[in-house]
Amino acid sequence: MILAKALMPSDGLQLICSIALIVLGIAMFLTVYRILRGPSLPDRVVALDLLAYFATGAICIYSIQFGRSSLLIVAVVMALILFLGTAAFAYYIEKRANP
Amino acid sequence: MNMSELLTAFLLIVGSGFCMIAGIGVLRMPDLFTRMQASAKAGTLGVGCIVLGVATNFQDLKVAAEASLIIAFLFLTAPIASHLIARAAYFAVDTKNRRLEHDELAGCYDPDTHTLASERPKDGVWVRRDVQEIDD
Amino acid sequence: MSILLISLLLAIVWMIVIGEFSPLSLLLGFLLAYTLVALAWGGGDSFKYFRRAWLAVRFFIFFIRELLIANVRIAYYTLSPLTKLRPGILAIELEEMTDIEITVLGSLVTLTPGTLTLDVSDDKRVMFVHFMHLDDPDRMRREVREEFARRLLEVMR
Repeated sequence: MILAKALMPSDGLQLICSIALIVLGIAMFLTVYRILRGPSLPDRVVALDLLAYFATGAICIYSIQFGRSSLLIVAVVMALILFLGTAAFAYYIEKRANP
Repeated sequence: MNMSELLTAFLLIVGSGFCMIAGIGVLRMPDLFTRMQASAKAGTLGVGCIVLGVATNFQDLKVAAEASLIIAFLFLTAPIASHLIARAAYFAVDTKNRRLEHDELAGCYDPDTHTLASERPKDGVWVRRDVQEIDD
Repeated sequence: MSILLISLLLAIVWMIVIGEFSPLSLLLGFLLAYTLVALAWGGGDSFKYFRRAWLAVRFFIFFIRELLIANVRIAYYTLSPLTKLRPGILAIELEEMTDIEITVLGSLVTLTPGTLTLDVSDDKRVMFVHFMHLDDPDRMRREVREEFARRLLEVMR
């Protein structure tokens, strides 16, 4: 199988990608803090959901930085799975409140 | 950098900025519902902008199709996910973790069957044990 | 004009725009156009179809604008002192709506300024909405009912 040729971005765009990744990383740290701290389980689930969103965004930025559009399919799958996780969590939180 | 790269760079910066705002919001907001507001709106738009940036960078039909698929998923599922979590949290989290100055939902849920009436029952039969009645 | 004719026309436009004249691209364009036209047709004459398309475009622009305003406002709330917040939940009465209309309305309300749909009552008469800053309940109620519900029903019916 022949992989598609990488479409490398220019140096300026590379720099922008790095900056965006760093900003996303800081935002991820903030949500991880909320996951650790969060007073209740729903708080943690909301923060976890947001973390998965950020991961989807980070994959997209990687695909620009390395010039590989095939990475994007990972983001598609992630956007699908993410909702299932949240829905399952919500179902069990509600069950646990009134069994 | 040419036009399309400039556009990509702009979308990436705006997107990661909104993601940052979502992160700060989730960290800083006082209660669950306000945190959910920050996460559901700023997070969705932030990631949406980044995905749009991918589409403008590659300028390829397949990439554009995948990108629009991601955006469609995000915008369709985010409100439903936040509705599910909010509903679950209304049953599970006790009231002292909630900062609400005005609550018309209080007492409308039936604590046993989890059905939702359109108004608070007059005799107050459905009121949960840990919800204080809020009069206005 | 019949639905077939309109979608054939759109398929030809699609081929020109894509810049690829092949049976495959004609078929793809035709399928796309047929789906869209069939979704938006809803019976009646072609004039209505174009009016609906125009309304849908206007609604899309309205939605994008509201989304941007929402995020600027969220940024403002996030970065300003938290004493400014006055969160609250309002019950908003809905008119007669089908399930799909309620779903779309709820999603729109979640993605727009300072509001978050929490739940819809089982008899579909009331929607419970969380507000970030609740200073005038009656105005807020009217805003959701008239701005969103009215515009949405205009497009979807």
